[in-house]
Amino acid sequence: MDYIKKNKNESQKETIAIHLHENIEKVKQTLGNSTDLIISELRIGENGTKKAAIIYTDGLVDTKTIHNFMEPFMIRAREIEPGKGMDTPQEILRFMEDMTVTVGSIKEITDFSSLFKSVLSGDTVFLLDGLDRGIVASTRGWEDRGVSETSIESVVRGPRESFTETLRTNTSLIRRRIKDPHLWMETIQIGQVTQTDVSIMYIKGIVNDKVLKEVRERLNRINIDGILESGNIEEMIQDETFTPFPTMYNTERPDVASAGLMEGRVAIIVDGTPIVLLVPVVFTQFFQASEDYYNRSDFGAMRALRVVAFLLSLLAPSFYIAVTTFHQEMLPTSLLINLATQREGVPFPAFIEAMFMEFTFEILREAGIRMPRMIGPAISIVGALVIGEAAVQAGLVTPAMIIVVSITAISNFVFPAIAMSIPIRFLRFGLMGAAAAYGIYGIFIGLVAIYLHLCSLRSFGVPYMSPMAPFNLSDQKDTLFRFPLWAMRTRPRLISQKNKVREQTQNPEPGENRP
Amino acid sequence: MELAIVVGIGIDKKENEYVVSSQVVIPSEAGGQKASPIGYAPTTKFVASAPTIIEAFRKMTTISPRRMYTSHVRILVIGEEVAEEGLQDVLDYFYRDRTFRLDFYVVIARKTKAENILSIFTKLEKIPSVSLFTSLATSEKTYSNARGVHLDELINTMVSPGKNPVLTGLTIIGDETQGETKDNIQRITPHTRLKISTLGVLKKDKLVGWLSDKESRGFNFITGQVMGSVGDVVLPSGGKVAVEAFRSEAHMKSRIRRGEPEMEIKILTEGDIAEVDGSIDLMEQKNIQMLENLLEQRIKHLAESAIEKGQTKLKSDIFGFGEVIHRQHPKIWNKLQKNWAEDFVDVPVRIKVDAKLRRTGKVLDSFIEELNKK
Amino acid sequence: MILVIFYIMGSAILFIPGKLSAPGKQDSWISALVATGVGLLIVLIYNVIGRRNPGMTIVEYSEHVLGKWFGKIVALVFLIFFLILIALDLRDIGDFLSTQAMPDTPIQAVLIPFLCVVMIGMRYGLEVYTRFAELFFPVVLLLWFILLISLYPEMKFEHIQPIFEHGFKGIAITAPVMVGFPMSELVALLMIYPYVNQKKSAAKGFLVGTLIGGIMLTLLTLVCILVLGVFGTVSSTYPSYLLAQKINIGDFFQRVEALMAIIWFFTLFTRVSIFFYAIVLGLAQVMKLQDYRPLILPLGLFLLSFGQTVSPNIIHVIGATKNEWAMYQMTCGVFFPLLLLGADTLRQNRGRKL
Repeated sequence: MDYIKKNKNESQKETIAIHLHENIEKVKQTLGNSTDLIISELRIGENGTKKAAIIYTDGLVDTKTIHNFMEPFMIRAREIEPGKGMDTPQEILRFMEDMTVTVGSIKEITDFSSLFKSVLSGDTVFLLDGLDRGIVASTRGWEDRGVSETSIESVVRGPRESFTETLRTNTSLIRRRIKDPHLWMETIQIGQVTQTDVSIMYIKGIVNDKVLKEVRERLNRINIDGILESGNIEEMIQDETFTPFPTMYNTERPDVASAGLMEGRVAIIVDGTPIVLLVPVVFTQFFQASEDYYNRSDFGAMRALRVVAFLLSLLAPSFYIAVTTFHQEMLPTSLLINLATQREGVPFPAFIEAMFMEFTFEILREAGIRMPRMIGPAISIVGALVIGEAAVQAGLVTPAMIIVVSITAISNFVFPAIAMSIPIRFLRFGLMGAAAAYGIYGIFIGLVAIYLHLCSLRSFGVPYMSPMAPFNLSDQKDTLFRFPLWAMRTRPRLISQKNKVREQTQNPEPGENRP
Repeated sequence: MELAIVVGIGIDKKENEYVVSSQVVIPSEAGGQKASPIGYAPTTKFVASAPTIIEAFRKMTTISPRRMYTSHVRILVIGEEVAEEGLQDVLDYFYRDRTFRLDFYVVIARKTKAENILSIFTKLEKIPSVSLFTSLATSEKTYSNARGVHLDELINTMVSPGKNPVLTGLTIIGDETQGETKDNIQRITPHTRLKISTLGVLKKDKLVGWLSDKESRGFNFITGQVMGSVGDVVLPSGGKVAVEAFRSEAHMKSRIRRGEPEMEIKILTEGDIAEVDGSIDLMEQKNIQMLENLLEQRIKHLAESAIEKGQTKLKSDIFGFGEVIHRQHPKIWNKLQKNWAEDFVDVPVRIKVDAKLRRTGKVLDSFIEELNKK
Repeated sequence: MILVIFYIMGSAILFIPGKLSAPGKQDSWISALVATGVGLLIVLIYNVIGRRNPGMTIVEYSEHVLGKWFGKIVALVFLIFFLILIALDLRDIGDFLSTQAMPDTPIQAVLIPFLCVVMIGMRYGLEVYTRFAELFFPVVLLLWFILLISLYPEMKFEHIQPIFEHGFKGIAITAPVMVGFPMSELVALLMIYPYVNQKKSAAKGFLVGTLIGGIMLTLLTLVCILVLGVFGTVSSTYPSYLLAQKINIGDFFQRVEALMAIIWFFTLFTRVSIFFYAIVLGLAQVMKLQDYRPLILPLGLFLLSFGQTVSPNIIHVIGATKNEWAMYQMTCGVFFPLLLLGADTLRQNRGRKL
């Protein structure tokens, strides 16, 4: 850290020297003569007396752009001659601007720190002997993945595009969807070493200014050496660190981000990751898929299913434990006898059995994400056959337990936002412990604690459990159920307080001129 | 879940000690597919005797490796002798202990010990207590000679001054000892079976006698408990027509005449013609009316016989006349209450039956008609 | 904010039917209805107090009206009242769980997690706590209706006949029981009254909440008698729990007494939390503390032991809460507020004359 700071301060002080070779020396020294640094020296002017150099980083620049920019310049390079109206940097700058309409932007720099910044972010710096300035041409262009299909939040109906690792591509994806002039963007660099571009996007006039201000403040407060993913940002600016629940929404879908913007949220886009953050967020949002809005509104009722899945995934194993160890009277007789038959010969209490199975499943799941793709099928065979079938055959686990674990596992993947399945994984184990100790009473106590915690959470000032608590009737239209679009006239109340009216379409009824 | 799931409990008495027997499920035999090929008995029986019931239960752990778990008791069988001596000392434990739910039936072992009832193998349902439970529920719905009585209902009626309880009896048909072996259910016709018998009449908490099959059904008609029953009427021309009653209601009214109570019972029954074993033209409206009349007489006869037995022979107000008077004439009831047990015997009862025949099944007229024409 | 009020009512569900039916027999549901009416009157008084002094809890109010020392004493009387109530509630939880679910678990082990959760809620503060209540109100209401509706097949209308057998006297004897418990206990809500955001709707909410709570209790009492009969209701320790055991629809929807237990827990949790809040806040105000949070843990620990020592056994709990208790409750819940109100009116009149 100290080294970096010193270094930065030094280079900030230093201005570009008159002599070209000094400058080149300096660049080489500072960048350690890295091999991807390209310094090509050239001679211009009549008789080639004037020395010049262009500096850029290989791989970060679009060579075609450099070519386009250098070509007309080199053709008329001979004209650059002191005494021909090309003495002052301003004149050269103007000359170059005239020459190079093909390049995005040209600007002038005087110190080394901006020189390095430009070079390292893919711009090309032009240095001329005898000039104590450099000229920067924007030539950014590097290999990226290109916009590909969504891999995490897939849908049946809806756009397939997903964000990429390039900030500019991502902003363009949103821009393409919202052509409103009020869609504003601010960019800052965060990370002393990484100098990562972080953009916030919002729609002026819809966004809640308080939230916006809060986002800006929190982002500016970050002082860290590096930001590699939006998760780093999330961790630095979230409301509460010690909570299993996500207080920011993350998405890889441009349409989700756009919808969020139009509801008055702020999008935080970080260069280098396809995951975009949306704030503020409420609990119910994690149960809403983008597809809910593209399908018929009746199917919005699927959300209720997701809530059921949420509860199942959270409670199924602990409920099983509670019922089989404490509350056998809650089962119908025939079911009890059936379960008792299965448990006959199983050497562990239900709690150990459940822990064992849940743990195994979590290991399998973790392994499934990490392992090389080729080994995948092998692991699933081991997982399904060995753990499931063999454990039952060996009499270590009851079949009912396998069913419970499977249900739990499957329900865990129902949420459109994967971020919500992580807290459940944690809390499930806690509840299982509570159930083993206190039965249903334990589960109740655990649930109360969880819900109290949920109620205490806020995301950028917005209560996490809204619009359920505090209750807001008109926002219920888009909470558990999705009302037809024409009925959702207002934007969520707590997120945007101004410009509430979302749309004014009338209930679509066949008009007069039906056939 | 290291529990011994008790499904049935039997209570007998022996020299001031309760003999408690419990039927316990053996899960590996009783549950589904996993039953071992050798085929042990699906249940086992533990018996212990002690001065109090709970003590007997705890004593059972000396012979059972697992704790007795009684939340799933389906049936509580009380020995006839115990019932005759009085139930009051027996029932409190079942009502108090938290593990007992109130959804099991209380029955009386007729002409045998409760213990024996719990050691008979049954077919169709592997677990005898469950078998009894369902067969009681079924016969209550389709034949109406029995009455499934839950514990809380029993206690409620026992403490009510204006009503006495009834309990269904269970009997063993065949040789008791042979019923205890697996051999019993390996035959198509088992040696020994359990049979739901008729209703036993209690006075307060003591068993005083039994209603016959006929009287039991009459009783159920009077109390409006009939959910389905079959009755046949004899045609004037000889032959019989069986009617299946699918709905029956009863309304009891009390009337006070000169300070003395009178009961009026109105029974409404709806039924279908279920079987025709004689010559009758069902297409004739008047014949249908005649059948209805005959049915009314028949039901009235059943009801009267039940009341006759209850009033004169057993002297127990199982019909709840007292409660009716209490409801409808609370002030007079206050006077009657004290001597109700004696006064009940003399209460005049009038029975009105209104029977309606609705449908005739898949066919209209019987083929017998056609047969006889030629 | 307002919805908290519903909760106060629901808390009594486990006991009220039994308590009312003992003297009132089949007419006890009418007593419940009467008590609801009386409860509404009480709430009207509370509303007046609340409106007189916006921004003041009853503890502050009594100091304001009665002067520093006497006011503090009255405030402490209130606080002790709450303390006993909360201890009784804790005792209820312990007894209930020991009787119905976990006979082998010591009562401390049952109470510790419960108090922990209450204390967590207190740390989060009133607002979080209210949101929690708001979140669960629909759940409880839904469960409640599921229970009532599924009990319909078990209802026997003969059980409530003859209506009015014991006349108005019977009703008059029983109604005070419910006026005392839980109606008078509403006084605790005066502690949070100043923190309600919209003052006007608070008064209305208070009334509506009492009405709905009262009606729910009345319905429950009615259903208890309809299903279990008078004797069953009176003799059971927990009639409503027994009630839930009776549910059996199509041999499938059965054995759902846990539902009843859940409703009860949620409501009781709310109730205990409100008392808890009232005590710590009141204590902080009496002692002129800035923040009530430091008092949470000591009170929690105190309650843990007080919950066990408050009464020797369950018969005592039920017996003591029958008559003398109702009087005590009414003293605290009705007499003292009236006293305060009277003193305040006197002061104001005198102030005007002078």
